[in-house]
Amino acid sequence: MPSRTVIPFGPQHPVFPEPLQLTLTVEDEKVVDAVPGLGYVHRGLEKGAELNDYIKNIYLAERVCGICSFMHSWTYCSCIEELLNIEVPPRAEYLRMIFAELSRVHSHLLWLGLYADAFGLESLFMQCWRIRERCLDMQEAGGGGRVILSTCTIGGMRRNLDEDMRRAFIKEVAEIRRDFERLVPVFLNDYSIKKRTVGVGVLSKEDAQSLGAVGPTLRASGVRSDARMLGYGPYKEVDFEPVVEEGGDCYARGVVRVKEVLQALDLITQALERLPEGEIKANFRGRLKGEVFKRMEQPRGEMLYYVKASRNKNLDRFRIRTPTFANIPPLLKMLPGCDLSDVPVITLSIDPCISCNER
Amino acid sequence: MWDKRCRLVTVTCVDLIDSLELTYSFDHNLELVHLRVKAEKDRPFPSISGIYYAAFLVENEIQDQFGLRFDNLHPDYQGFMLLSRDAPRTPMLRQVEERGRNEDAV
Repeated sequence: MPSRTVIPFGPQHPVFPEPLQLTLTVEDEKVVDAVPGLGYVHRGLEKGAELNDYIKNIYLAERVCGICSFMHSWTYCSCIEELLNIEVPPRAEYLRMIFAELSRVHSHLLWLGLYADAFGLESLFMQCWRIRERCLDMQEAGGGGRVILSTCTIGGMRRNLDEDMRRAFIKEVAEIRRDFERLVPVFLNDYSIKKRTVGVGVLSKEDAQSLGAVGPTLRASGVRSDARMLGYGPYKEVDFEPVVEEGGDCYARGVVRVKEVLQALDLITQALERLPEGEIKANFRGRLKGEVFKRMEQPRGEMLYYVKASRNKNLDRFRIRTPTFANIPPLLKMLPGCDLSDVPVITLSIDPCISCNER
Repeated sequence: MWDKRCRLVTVTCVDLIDSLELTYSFDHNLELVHLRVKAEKDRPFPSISGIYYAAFLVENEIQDQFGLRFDNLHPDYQGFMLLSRDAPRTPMLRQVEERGRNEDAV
């Protein structure tokens, strides 16, 4: 019988951008069991939201995560808009979609870079992040901040996009696409990438569904499910078809994200070309009362917000189910049976965002 | 729910002062289905992690934040999954908030 060793993997590990601990039980070089250790960046944000008034919570929601911050504020604002029966002007909805897809592009590029770093391709990591920088510059030009934009507000948007900026955005998106298309063949065909990712960390379609996987992790296992199919905001008006892969391994999860970058760039161009004229913010009044569940698709997958209010200004309950929270059980299913050297690649393949996860 | 191949989205716990309200949300072909039950605060509540393994995270989180114990929860972090040993216990319960305010007033 081979001897068993327990290896604490993380919380501080060179490949993890954020503190996640995995207690791995290893038999020779094979992982037998994995137990997650959480709570290193728990901030009690849901409790904080009950103490703030509902306007301040927009900024709190944005700070749940640094990468997908815009989508958090969009989801939160749309929850409050539903409770107060506010009709958001179409131009604001399109602007929201543009920034949401822009943050999807930069989040996926960040992940593709870290993923390349995890299997040792430093130059690819640099290339991805170089392209990502252009997205951040666009966000700064259009929203005012590089990562946390604070442009989404209840009833609409805070900042408009003028005609010059709109044209510049269309041009810039085309250039990002041109740059990224040069990297796509590397992710899809490179021998060493395939060697490290094909058949590693396989998650079957049944397991993905029963373990509640979301986002690219679910779609890479062949399940056609994307919260954008619900048709919130302008998604019902643009051409959108979720990216689905059949492999269920790390390679398929990478391919889904590569294709989603191209798709998101396409969605941004569509939205910029169709951008309706008009107001960007609706006025509102009323009392917060009732409860609402709202789902939106983040770069990492489906996110669920629950807001319950019966008092005037404060919320009774504010709950966020972030995509990483749903993707940790599938990760624990993928790890047993793999080599210790594959653990970084498999863990990164679900795109763990621990500050989202622990809130 | 399991037989219909519904995907567990999450469990949401709300403190109603005299009891806790648990809402189980499932996804069936992009449609949300909610099941709502009330749980007594001081009695252990049956865990669904035996059926939906993925529920262990959210049930541990509720155990941390609301102090509701779950029967047959595995793995069970004993209320210390997100919170550290020296953190205040059950921070999401309403009474804790009120007690904190009273202490401030004194």
